[in-house]
Amino acid sequence: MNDFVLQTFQLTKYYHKTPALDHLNLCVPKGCVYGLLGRNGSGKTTAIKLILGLLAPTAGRAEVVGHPSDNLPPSLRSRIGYITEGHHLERWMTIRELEHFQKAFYPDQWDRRFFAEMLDYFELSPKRKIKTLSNGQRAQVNLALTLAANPELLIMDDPTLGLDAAVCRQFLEGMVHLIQKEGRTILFSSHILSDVERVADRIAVIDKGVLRADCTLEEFRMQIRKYLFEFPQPNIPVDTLPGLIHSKQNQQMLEATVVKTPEEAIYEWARRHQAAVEPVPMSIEDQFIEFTGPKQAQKLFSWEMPV
Amino acid sequence: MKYLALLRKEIRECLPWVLLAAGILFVFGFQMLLNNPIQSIIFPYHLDDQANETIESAYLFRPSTVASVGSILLFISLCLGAALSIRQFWFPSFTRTWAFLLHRNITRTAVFLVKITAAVLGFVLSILSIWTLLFLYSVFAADYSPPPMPHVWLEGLFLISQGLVVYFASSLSSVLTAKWYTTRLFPVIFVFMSLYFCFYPKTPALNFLCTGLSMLILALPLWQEFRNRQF
Repeated sequence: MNDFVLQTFQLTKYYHKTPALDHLNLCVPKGCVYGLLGRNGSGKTTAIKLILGLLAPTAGRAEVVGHPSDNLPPSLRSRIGYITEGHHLERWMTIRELEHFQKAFYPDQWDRRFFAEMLDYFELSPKRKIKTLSNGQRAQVNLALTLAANPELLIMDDPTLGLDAAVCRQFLEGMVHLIQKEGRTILFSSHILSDVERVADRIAVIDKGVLRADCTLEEFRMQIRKYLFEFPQPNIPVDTLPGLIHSKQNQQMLEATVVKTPEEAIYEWARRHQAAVEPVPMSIEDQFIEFTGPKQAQKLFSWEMPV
Repeated sequence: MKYLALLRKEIRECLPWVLLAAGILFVFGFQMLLNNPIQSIIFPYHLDDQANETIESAYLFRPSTVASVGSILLFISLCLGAALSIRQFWFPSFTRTWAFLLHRNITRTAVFLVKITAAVLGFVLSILSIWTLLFLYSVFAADYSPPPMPHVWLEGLFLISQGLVVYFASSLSSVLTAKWYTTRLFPVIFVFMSLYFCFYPKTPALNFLCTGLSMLILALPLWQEFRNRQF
């Protein structure tokens, strides 16, 4: 028996001939807030649906609390909360009706007071119909519905997608409320770094279906660095720079992003090519974009072209 | 409790269509009963010269006024079948609510059975009850000569059951993920064949047997497809 609530083993999914997820190996420990990061279409939703057994894998397998995902028993499902991407709820129902519907599935776990408090906090009347709510309000209802069922494992698929900054913050505060309850595990996907930065203990970065990083946020921060080089001549041997993932070049200047490369190796490379070097500060957003951006991208968009 | 909640949700979602079908049948059915004294029967194609004698004595095919409602009953039943299946099996794909429903602590087979129960209840509570009402009216309230025989009610039941065949076919077509002009079309083609074969036999028992078989042939792959479908 291990302490992983959720594990995937070489999990692979193809849609016809297109790979959506390629040999994903994930381990989510108990009590962890795990951020699944990736750009649009990177395979985050596919991974989550495979974990929940809503999709069948092409190869590999996923396990939730030791049970294979393709056959999760109802008793285990009652311990899992799931917030779908886009917060698609039954539009004809009122919030009250939706509460009764949800409560029927979790009669022993349902926290009625908490649900009422959440609605108060979000200033939502239970009489309102789902179809009259904005996207942000639907997200709030969805979060309240899911958290009031007291799930041990909460899986959220891009929950802050399309929400404005204020609602997004409220949503994340709701999440923090759950985190404070002992032993709860959260897996959530996002493409917004600031969301992840605020709550995640650990992150996994998926790019084009491939797991590119699985580490703590601090490790991720430390591993990706950007440097500005100034060379005496215009012919710059960029390809020899160790750990290069992204570069921009303009005559004698080179802006390069490297991953998992010790600082000494960079300075040594610069010294060998008689270049002056200085580190460029990066926000975590920049780090993520460059890490998941096209490799060795040197082609500029038309609006980036030097005049 | 969760099954009941699910059933309530399904019935509520089907309710507009169920009420619409009941309303149309009620209005047009009574109008036909009140304004159409011509006696007709549901299975006119059985009244060829050769078979006339046999049919006259057959238990299901006696003419009656209430039976004239048959054509509209069949039409409404087929439409209701298609409408309910689209609401239950296609609409959630459109509104993207499958995941919201299926991640719950309930098996897919249970969800499937609840949906079927809701649809059958929809048929029973709407057109079957209105049909029974029309039949009872023609037996007890109206002054028809000859009064409709009890088996006429069975004729109506048979016509209503054709709606369920359409329901299963349309549901299967909705759940299938193949392109609409390939495998997805097969259930629809099957319905046309099924309608022919269900009406063809000369004995009521065989009529009902063919209908039951058609439903079974469609329900089994529907169940299998729904259990294995990726949402």
